[in-house]
Amino acid sequence: MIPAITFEELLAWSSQSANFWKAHLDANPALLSLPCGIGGTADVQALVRHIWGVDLLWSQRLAGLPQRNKDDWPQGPLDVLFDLHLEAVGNFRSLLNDPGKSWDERLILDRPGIPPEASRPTHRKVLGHALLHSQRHWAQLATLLRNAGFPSGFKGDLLFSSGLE
Amino acid sequence: MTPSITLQELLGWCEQSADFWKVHLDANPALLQLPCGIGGNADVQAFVRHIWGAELVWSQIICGLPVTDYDVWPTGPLDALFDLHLAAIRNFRALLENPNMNWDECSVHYPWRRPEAPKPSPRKALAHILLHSQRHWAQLSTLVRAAGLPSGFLGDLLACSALD
Repeated sequence: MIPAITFEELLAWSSQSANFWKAHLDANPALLSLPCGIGGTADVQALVRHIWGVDLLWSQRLAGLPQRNKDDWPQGPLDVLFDLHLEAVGNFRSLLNDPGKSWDERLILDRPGIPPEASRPTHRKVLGHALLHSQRHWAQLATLLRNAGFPSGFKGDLLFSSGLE
Repeated sequence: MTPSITLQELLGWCEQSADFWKVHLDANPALLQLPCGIGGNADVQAFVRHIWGAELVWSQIICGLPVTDYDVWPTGPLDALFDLHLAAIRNFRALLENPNMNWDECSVHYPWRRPEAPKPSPRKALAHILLHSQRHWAQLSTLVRAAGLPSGFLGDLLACSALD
């Protein structure tokens, strides 16, 4: 057996992390206005918009659905941004439940920042990327808040996820 | 088929990221002295020590080897810290090549585990430590960029050549 982490497990981890931050930012709304800079975002709310908007974008791309333009993503409030994530999770679940899904099919990416050798990833790789993209950003956000004097208590390591044993 | 990422692929990603930072920090040694604070580390060098030392400790725990005490880890130079990573990689490879490994048995005890915390399986423990470094590299990337010294690190899985 080749040991592996299933995308169901990564999706559960992604959802758990998103749920933590939704609850934490709901309880501490002033954090949303903190200056940020990560990924060129001006404040924490814009970073969260990037994280959840990208979730949705990749889910639509993988599902072959029309993609909502980044400029059309809502700016806020948090509930509306979280809806982007929830919609993405719905799309991801549909993909994972589709027995006919061809995970070895390739996408063609022509975005700046993608090295040429990485521009034709399989759907499997793209979903792995999409589910781990947020985890890297949550780690950055946890650091940003701690440095600003507002530690979140976020336990972002996979070890703490109940999505796998 | 349940789509998944193999631990072999996560190991490849882990190596590629570590190799990037080794080269980048070798070329820019002044970065090692930048104040850090992440995980209580005073500077970037201490933070890198945490990242690669944790890999070694987890590799030893999962392999059932004696665990190198935190106080015994070298504090530098960078080459000596990278050796911690390389030793971890050898242990990870030995695990992945062991046909008798029971990956799903929730049997891994780590010394700082709280009594109420469940024991993870070797599969979860190995995935945890292979992703632990990725989360920290993302933080380091932000730290050096905020200090005005962007690294050009492409940390997303999308940029990794260890899987198609």
